[in-house]
Amino acid sequence: MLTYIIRRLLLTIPTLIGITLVTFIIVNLAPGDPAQFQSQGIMDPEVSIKTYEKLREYYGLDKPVHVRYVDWLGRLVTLDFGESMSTDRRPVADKIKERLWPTMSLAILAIGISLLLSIPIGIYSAVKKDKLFDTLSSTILYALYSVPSYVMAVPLILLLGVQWDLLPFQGMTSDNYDQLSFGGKAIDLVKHYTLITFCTTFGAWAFYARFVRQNMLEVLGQDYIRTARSKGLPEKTVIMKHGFRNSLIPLVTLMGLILPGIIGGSVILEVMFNWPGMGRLFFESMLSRDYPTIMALSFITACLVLLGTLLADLSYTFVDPRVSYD
Amino acid sequence: MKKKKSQSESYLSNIWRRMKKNRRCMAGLIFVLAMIGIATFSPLLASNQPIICKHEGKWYFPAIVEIFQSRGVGPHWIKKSQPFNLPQFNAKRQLDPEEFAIWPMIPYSEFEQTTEYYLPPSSQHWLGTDELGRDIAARMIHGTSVAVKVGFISMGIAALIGIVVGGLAGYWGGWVDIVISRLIEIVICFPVFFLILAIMVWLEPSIINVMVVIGLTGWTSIARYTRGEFIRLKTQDFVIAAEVVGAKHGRIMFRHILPNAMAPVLVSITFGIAGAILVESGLSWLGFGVQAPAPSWGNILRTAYDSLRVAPHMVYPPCIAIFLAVLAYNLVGDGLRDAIDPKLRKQG
Repeated sequence: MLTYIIRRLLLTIPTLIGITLVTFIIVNLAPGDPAQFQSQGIMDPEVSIKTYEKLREYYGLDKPVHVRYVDWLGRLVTLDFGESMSTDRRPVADKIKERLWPTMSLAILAIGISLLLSIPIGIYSAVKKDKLFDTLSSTILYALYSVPSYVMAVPLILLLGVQWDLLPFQGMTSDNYDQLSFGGKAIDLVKHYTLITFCTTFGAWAFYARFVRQNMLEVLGQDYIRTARSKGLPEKTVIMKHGFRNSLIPLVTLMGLILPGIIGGSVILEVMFNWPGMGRLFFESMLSRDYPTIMALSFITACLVLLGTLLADLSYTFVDPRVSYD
Repeated sequence: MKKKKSQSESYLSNIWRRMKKNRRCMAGLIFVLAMIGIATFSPLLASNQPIICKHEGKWYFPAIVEIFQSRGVGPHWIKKSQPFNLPQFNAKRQLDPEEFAIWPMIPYSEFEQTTEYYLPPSSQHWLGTDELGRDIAARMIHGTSVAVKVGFISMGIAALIGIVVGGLAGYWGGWVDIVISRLIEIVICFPVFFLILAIMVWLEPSIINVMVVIGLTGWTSIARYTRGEFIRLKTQDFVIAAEVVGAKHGRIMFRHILPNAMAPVLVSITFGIAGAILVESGLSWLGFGVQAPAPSWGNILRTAYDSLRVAPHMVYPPCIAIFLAVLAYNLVGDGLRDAIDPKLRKQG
């Protein structure tokens, strides 16, 4: 097993290099660089060109592409993402650090809540297959699964945010957040989190619940379940101990795979909710051609996803002793 | 004519027979066909020009001509037909006694602006009007073609790449497989939307580019399915038999293995179409997709979002349309998968 883990870890090295290469190529071969973007507003053509040249030199964009790639890679190893090429010129690491928590908290909430809600529903509808609850929940979950998160968000914003005026839908905190008491702050945060968390969560929830049900059905059809029943174990033990535990195995792999969906989907939701997260930062940096930020964000998310799949793969070998390691 | 000998049912007709029994799958398929129909015949459904009319003693077929002209294909007789473009001869016109016209169901074109901004739904404008006084029903109908085109063309591109890449990896194995599998893993690590946005920023935002980019980024799951199927099939007897009679590798791959690998790949293409529709409307929402004034469900949703307080009625049509389209493709995909894998179906 150790050799399997080592080999699996070694295999991520070419993938990591590939990730840096793809990131760099997509961003840097694009026409229109940040220098051009920031100098195009200047009316006087001579000043504009001079500013452009200066900015290019300042950002180091006048060097050949491969030199820049090696430079970037060298700094990346020390986790130095460089300085932002937007007008504020702050270190990229700082910019991302303050945006990391809003997005990651959403992702964690989404995965946690969807697991908590989907497992009981999935098990219950598998046990009561084709009964009213199963038919009803399966239909609703199927429909939910087909609703894109932002398509769900707009009517919710309209109803809850605008027409009934129940929940805020812009940003993470209210304008008067600093003046609120501690309890007031908590309530304010919860209110701001409610809508966007729901929109991030429901898709994963529907997906998990369907998945748990399917797995549970598969497991309940196995011989060892019949054995457990026929030796007179109580139904609860059969389902929870013999059934559910075995249906967990495929769920583990799924956890790593759901992450890119959540982070990728966060772009639209964060722009829509004016949420100060990584998705919106990505969108903003895209618009201003802020190379270092774009590259750092793509690299970090790609690594997160890689980590997710890696953990899923490795935990799979722990959870399921039947998995062979060669 | 010689009567065909009764033979065992072919693989595909077997799948089709099982799909037909699945009512939900058929409902999805019917919705997809309806979407294609609406997209094809949109000028007959919503246009300010008549379908058929008699004007100054001559007969014209403006909407039918538009079907061909707006799609850039026209048989000879359509090109030679008399041009009929009379702004004054539109749906609001009082007809003279000798004139005759059959109007489309919704007598507004998708670009026609009126002075009635943000009207709620009424008998005149079924789904209301938008910020430029355009009829939303007409825009929804004409936006259907975007959803249909994006789904099929982008997944066509993705399928082409995915099948070739996945097929090569599965068939050759060895280092080809290792390289391609790494490549797939790398592409999967980027959230699709990040990748697409990154590329869209340096392209002109247009429907063609959206389709190409979705296709270029959406091939990974197709490639994985194809690879798996090729690995499974390449050791089967019929492949070995083909090798024995000296068939070339290309022929074995695409004539012998591919048709047998097609069904599971088709499932992932179907789900891919649903995903492509979703991504397109998301891009249009962000302003990188179909550009105004051309209608698409995504940019209708964007206008709706920008005017939530003044025109709440604009929100629902695009939302429901996107939801139903995604649902329909998911139903077809699920039905197809169940039909292919009877084991799953029994448990379902």
